[in-house]
Amino acid sequence: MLLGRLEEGLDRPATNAERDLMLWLCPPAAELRRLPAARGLLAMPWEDVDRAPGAEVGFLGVGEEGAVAVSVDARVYVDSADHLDLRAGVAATLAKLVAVGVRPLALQMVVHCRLPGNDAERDGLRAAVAGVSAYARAEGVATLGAELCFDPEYGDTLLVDSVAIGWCDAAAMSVPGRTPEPGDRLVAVAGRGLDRVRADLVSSGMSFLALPTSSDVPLRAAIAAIGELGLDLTPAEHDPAHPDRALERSRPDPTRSILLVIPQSRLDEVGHVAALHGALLAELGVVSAESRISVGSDLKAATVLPAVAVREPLEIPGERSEPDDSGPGDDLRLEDLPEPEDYDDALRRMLRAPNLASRQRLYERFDSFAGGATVLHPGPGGGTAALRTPMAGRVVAVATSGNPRFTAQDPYVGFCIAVCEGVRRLSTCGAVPRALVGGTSFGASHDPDVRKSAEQGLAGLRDAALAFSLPCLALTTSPAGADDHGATPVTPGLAFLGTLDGPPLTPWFKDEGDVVILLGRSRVEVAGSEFAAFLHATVDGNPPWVDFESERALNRVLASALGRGFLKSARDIGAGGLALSIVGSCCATPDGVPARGARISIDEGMRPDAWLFAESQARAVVSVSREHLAALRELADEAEVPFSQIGEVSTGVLEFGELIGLTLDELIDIWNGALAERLGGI
Amino acid sequence: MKWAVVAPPGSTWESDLVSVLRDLFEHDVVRAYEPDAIRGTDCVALCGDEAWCGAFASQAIAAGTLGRAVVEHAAAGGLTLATGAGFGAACSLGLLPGRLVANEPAGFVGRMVALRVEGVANAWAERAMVGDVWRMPVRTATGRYVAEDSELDRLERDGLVLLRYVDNPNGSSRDIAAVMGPRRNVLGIAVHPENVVDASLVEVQWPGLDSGRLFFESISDWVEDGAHRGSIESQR
Repeated sequence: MLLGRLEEGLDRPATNAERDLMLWLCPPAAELRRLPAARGLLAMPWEDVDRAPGAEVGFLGVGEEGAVAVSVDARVYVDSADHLDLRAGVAATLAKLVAVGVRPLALQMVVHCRLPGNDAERDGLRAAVAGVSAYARAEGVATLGAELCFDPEYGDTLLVDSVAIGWCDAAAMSVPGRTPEPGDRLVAVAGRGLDRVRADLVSSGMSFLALPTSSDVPLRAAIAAIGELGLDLTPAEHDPAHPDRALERSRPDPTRSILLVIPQSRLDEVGHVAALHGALLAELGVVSAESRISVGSDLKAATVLPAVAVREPLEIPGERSEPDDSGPGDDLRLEDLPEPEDYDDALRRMLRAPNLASRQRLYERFDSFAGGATVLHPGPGGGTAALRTPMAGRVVAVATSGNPRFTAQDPYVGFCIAVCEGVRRLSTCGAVPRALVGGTSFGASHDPDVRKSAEQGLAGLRDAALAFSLPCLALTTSPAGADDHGATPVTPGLAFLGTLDGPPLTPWFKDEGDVVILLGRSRVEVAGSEFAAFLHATVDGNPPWVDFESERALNRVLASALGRGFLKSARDIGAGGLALSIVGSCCATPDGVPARGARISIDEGMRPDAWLFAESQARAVVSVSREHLAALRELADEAEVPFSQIGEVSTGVLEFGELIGLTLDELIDIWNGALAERLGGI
Repeated sequence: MKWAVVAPPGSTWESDLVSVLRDLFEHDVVRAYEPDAIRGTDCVALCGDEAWCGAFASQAIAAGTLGRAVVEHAAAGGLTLATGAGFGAACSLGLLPGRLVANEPAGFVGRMVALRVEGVANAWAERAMVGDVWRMPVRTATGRYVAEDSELDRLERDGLVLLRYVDNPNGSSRDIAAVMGPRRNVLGIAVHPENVVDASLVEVQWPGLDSGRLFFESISDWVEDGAHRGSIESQR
């Protein structure tokens, strides 16, 4: 597709050098943003939202005093040796915020890979975790989550989606960015004092434009970012075989650099400011209004490509179609799965499932205290974390979601589910969902089938974002320009931001005797669930039904009940179904806060394993004191959200009817130890 | 109350402590890059950043003029609080016995831990009773405190162990989390009291937790109450 467009622009067959250059010049993230659904997603006008050029950094205003800034990065690591260097993704994410003058406060990341199968792979994953942890700590950034998502479909590939969060005060936001003009210079500033360099330039009244960019290929990203502004870039003279070499030579630390577009007349001044703070400056290129992109001006025959080839939207082969009813395979019927003979044993096995095992020990390998702003830490928070902003009382909650199994079954629905889950997680902690940040990974981006899946997934993302009125602050994808990523499933790596005016609601059960309520409707939806995949080794079927209105109604009930002080805990129901949500509410408590048991009844109208483990959407488990029971029921009835009183909080034991009775000690022991058992330690 | 905060170049970890002292307690805080900045202060905080510079930074401080100024401050009876990797620096400076080494089992640990208060009637835990349980976060990969048995025996005998882990997270000898120098004016503490001061940050998960506030208020009281200074002198 890309090459066809190139040759069309050249009006002749492209040379190998031109083909290579074309691929090199097309950052996958920019490529993704040219897909129609992504363009639609980013084109929506929203109040209080702004994006930096390149759309990998966004701002969400949370009042008159300032905004939350986020940056996003998604990467594919195809070589196991690369796994050890996951820090590159972390560094790039943080550098993007620094580029726009924002001090990063927190980091959240999700790693998708297969479950390590041997000691070398386990060692590699543990080393990667330790490396990311150390890098974030060195930067003084709180790590609010480092989720591991296992799926055999990833093969040798490892995907990493990371989001950095910072605070930008109103004064900094009011500095206008320079609108690039032909003749402006693109420079890179590299070193550890970038925030001070930037602050000095702002103080001097200089008009400049900062371009957030990935640290590995800054020139390439700059060309894309400037291209999105309708201009082109003629790189400065350098080794044509290695266009980034000039910058690399000048950078003491490749993870710390920002790109600035400045007037030519201020070049010396910027160099002086950079030197003052121990940073280095390299001139990368000149902004031009030519409709071409040239690289290697010292080549005898300069390689010149038609700019249109890298700027225009790509076409998707065939018509985009809504997913059909049958999905990628025949729908999975519950009767095809044998019912467990021993439910105690079934729950024990589910607790050991790699994707369901407690992440508490993993989170402890990261520093969620750094920076002194973390209000809710990710372990007990059930994967949702919260940061206090400099604005009095204002808190930002962050949640991630993205289940590649649902996306594999149906990309459109899979992305819709990812958005619903993320929004639900925020709602259960009392946050008002405000924005999403999209990291997306898909293999073989030049493969028409893969591209079609990505387009369908992005259409789901766009439609779900509209359904919840969520602006997309930033969007990127992993670098998947080569065909050797063909085995990588299309993977949503989404993060969600919400705001609260007070402390978040926590998900663990509080007091013995509190009533446990299931909000939402349970269906026999086991296809794509951890239950089907782990206990029955089948991934066939269609993902669960998605109904945006049901989700919105549930979120309204949660917000209303929380506002009136009815709720003592709330947790969304996602992977592992109702049973794992209850286990989390019982066992995932902060150090020093006692775990609680629960007596939960079984729905007589459904086979117990489906009741326990199905992953129907638009559901949450809440606990309330008895005095608020009637009022909560009234709220649910008004919103037409199914309300079921399913049990009460107890001590010592978790019971599901007559079928399951496990002590908390055993549950905690199995659940907290399972991931370390799988990985040979964490 | 006047504080001087000593941290290696490039460190970021002292900023939590600085903001707590300045914003919550309204203390006078200077970041000390030169020995002169330490003179005249009530308490020197020796901080570190193991992830960025670790043992190297500790050694650099210990070998430099700033390190000597910290030693002089402590020798004159000045309060010296060594947190995180700064604890290791205090050991390198000879202000405290023993040293900090890699956790056992190896790896970073970042979580809230329970600590039993063992030493009272000092600047650091004046408001506590022996046996009280405090909670503070441990955030380190090299927080395992070790010392010769004879040193450990002496610390115990002289009542210089301030805090012990209830559930040892890093293999520290005899569960020690914080120790004092012989005159009790120097404290090495492997946990982070500065992270459990601001109620708005800890109330959500740990209602009623005020260990950090008790810790810093104890220091303030000690400094502001001249009578206690006399008791320091009497212990010399």
